[in-house]
Amino acid sequence: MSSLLATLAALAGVPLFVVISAMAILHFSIAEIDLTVVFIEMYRIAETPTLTAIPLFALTGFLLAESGAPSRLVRFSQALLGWLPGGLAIMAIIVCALFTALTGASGMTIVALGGLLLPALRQQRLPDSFSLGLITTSGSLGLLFPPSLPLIIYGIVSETPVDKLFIAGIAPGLLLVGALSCYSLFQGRRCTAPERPTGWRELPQAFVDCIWELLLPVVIFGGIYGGIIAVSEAAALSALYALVVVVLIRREISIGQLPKIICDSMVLVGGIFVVLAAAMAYTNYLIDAEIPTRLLAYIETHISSRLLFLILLNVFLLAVGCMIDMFSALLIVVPLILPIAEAYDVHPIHLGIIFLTNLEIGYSTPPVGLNLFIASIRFEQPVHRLYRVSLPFLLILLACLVVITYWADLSLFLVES
Amino acid sequence: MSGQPILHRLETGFLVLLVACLLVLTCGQIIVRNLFSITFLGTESLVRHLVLWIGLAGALVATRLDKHIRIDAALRLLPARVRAVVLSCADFFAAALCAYLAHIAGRFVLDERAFGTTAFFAAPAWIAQLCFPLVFGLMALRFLLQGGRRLRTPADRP
Repeated sequence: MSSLLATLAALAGVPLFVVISAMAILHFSIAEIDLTVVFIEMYRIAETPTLTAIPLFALTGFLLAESGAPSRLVRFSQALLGWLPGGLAIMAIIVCALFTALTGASGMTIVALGGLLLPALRQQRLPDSFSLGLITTSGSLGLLFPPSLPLIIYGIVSETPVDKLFIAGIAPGLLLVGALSCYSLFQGRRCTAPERPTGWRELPQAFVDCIWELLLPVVIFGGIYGGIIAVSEAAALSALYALVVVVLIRREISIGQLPKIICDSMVLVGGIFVVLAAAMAYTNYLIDAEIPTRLLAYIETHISSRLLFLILLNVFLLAVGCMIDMFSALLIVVPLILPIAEAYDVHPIHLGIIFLTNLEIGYSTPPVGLNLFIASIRFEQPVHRLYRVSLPFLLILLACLVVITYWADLSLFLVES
Repeated sequence: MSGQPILHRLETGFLVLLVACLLVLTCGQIIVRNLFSITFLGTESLVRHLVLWIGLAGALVATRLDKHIRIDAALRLLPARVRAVVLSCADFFAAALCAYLAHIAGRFVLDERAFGTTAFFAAPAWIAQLCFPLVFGLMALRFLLQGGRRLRTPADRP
């Protein structure tokens, strides 16, 4: 009954942290537990070490998004891949993936890059429906690559090491990017895009222009996997690095603009933070009330095989990804599913990758996937047209999802080696 | 920035200050540890409290800018006028709940003071936790104002 009310409230647009806190308060009251427990749990957030990474990586992403980095990256990849038929489309996929990894699932990719990429794709005479579909579905591509915020949040919620999740995401992420790239090559061959023979000559200059941005992953990875620093410290270094490059070296953002950018990025962090805080209290209730255990018992009586469990998990998560914002989805659903998945012998790291792939695809899934609506506003297209144009991309991504879900080693081989 | 009320600018300034402290502390810690092999006990806890305050301050600004995470999938399909009414009801509910949370948070802080819990550098934890009642109280106020505003200007969201 209370879950039904909560669902209704959430659908009516009550902020999610309010819905979750209300649930927690209600249940604790019924169980006659002192309500200050809500804040004891919220305060526990201050004991999570990886949490520091969230504001710092968010700041890095916002700084880069506001700088000239997106247009420089576009120019570099244009010089690198412009000669290839369909190469521009591949470049769009790669740039979107890199950008989303840095900015998280905030819908910023379509807004910040769409305006740059769509005209470039049109210039190469790629079919309009293809270009639109590509940008729409690429809006959440790259969430499996470090340092994506959803990966960090999954790590926090499931108590899985974030550095291992970062490694696990690489191969599945490349699979998604690779599959869409193959499709783009195929489309590019059909439409005989005009070649750009000057591409190679521009390459050295475009590379030099991008050098600071291209070095950022080296800072992040070198630090973490060189064993020098922890994930949260890598976040601090990359924020400092982005700040120095954008403000002091490139001078693309003035000191006067910084407060607004910092404020904007912390608004995203604040939004995630209160949901996280509320979810801490709520999860504590779930475990106290043994809800995951009871859910597991119920599911085990109905689903006997691991395969069937994984299929249902995919269907369920796609629906969740389509309906709910990614961060909230992770915070609410992971604590419920994690113990069940363990019972079906799904590795927590593999589960994280399955989760994020589903949520990523769910973002472009009709009827209410967020990417479709952002693209509809950004490119002034009716939503039903975006349903149609993103369909081929969606089918390819779904095929990849099947591979990622049922071939656990794809996610785990780098972690275990 | 210049056209903003002084309260908003103070709020932004405070948030920027917190983020700057976070950056200086975390980066400083890496340098000091790697160059001089010194670790300061308590900095870690201070950093985590900074993140707590940043998160809550960010949430407060998010309330002002109407950027809280909502499930608006169903709302996207409604006509603008109906959506505004539904959303303003949602805001009033949020205001009521935040006010109640602020009240609970107040009790929590008093409890912690009575227990004498300590946070970073042996500072009393209750001072660090004052942010909870403060932020939730202010959010309640903002949700209330926002709900009223929505009813007056129905088509304020695309």
